Amino acid sequence: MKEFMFIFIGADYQELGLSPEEIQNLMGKWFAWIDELKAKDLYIEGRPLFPVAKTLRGPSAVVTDGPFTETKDIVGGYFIVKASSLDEAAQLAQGFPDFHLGGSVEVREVMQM
Amino acid sequence: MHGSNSHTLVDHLFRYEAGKMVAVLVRMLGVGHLEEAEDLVHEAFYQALHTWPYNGVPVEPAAWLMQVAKRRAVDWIRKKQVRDAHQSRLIKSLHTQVPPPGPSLPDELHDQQLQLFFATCHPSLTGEDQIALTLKIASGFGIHEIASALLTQEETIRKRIYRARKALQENQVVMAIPTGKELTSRLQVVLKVFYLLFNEGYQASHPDWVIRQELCAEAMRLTHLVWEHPRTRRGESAALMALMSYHASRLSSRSTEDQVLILLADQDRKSWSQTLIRQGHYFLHQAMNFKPISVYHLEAAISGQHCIAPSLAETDWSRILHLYEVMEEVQPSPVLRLNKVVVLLQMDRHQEAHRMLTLLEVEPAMHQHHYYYAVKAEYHQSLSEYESARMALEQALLCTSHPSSTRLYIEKLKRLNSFR
Repeated sequence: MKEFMFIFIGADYQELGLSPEEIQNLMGKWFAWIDELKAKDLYIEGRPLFPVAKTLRGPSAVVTDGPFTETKDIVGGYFIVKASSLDEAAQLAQGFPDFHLGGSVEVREVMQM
Repeated sequence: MHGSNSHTLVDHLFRYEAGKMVAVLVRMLGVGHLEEAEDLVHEAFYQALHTWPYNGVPVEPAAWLMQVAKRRAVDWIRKKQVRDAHQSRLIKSLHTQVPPPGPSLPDELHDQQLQLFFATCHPSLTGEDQIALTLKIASGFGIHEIASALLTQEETIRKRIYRARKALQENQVVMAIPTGKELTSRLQVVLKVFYLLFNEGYQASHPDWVIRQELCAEAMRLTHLVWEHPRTRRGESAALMALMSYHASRLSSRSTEDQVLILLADQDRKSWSQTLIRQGHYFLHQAMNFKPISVYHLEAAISGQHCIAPSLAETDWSRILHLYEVMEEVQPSPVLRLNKVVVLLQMDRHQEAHRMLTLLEVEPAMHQHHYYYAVKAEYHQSLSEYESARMALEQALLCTSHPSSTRLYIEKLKRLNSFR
């Protein structure tokens, strides 16, 4: 089995104006997805990321606020899962609950060192 | 990874906690900052959404949410302090009250919830604004959920809530439980708002059965919070709980799947919820320990009589008639007398029924009232005067635009035509 990283890029939840009930329902979908991956023994780990960021770039490492300058999308967190191929990993990523909210998932194979 | 890693949450937990959290935060920030309090509460939910899927649900999810919301409120106050230095004294007192943010004592929290009800049901707001604001603030509904529940446009609800918040600010409403005589009159307003909320769900007009149930359940949840608080543990709070419980016991048998009202006579009594009927008995019994007797006491008692009757014919009509008569002394109204006519017809007291109908005909409130003509049709039908019954029903149809009543009257007309 290879290891893959799901990088969750999503619109800011706060700007979506969800009600408490909708937030709870959305969380339920996240739980269902993770529980399914865990039940199949494919889930290795995952962590959320704070939205606040600084980016350093250029020869003099200029510090700017925010992860990207050109887009408001932020990386909300990542999972590391087991799968036998990139296609299979992409299939597992179909369970990501935030597609309808404008979110996306980047699937990348993690190199084994 | 800390936390229990469990992925289960109580249904509606967030919505229920939202009301409590806003109550606590409004207490910290002041009613003038209702919107900020709501925003901060929302931020706490978003933080949960962002972290719980990875870490699992905390052992005490409600306490976790409250703590995060309070911490954010303290931050908000600190930032505000920088902005307006003259408020520094207030901040100091707040700091001695809240740090470190932890769960409130249950009693204190209950106080704050009640204070919030008295604010969202403030008499300076119109009835519809009170309902919208209560659903938004105390019940944690979103704008489009309220609009859908009340069959209204989102824009209308937004306006109502804006207007209501502004009225609270302009009237400098404070978070407090009123005292003395004011408590009595203000409590009546709060209970009335909850009853209206209940009726929104009880009316068969809403196409979504789940939403109707939820509105009724929410109204009962709020009323129960009022009843459980020592300051508002009064006869009318219990009586309203009893009334709602009795009504709710018949909710599912009250209309067909396509929202046609089913009359009491045609309802399947076996499908009435015995648990809710017992709950009604319990609260009515509690209510009777208090004076004075309110209209809710009497309405509950009447509803309770219907609940315990094995069939329409075996209903204790004379007891119900008596209750209506007592009610007329407390709060006379033409609709009430019309209800009495219905009871008199059940008891075959046609002459009295006729006399009352004649008197009611000239009442301005009964003019063009579809219910009046519907009862008049009942009267004629009970005397086998089918042509007059038909005319009255047609009149009733002309006077209503309500889809479920329209369908009901058309159904009745069809039945009448079979007597031709």
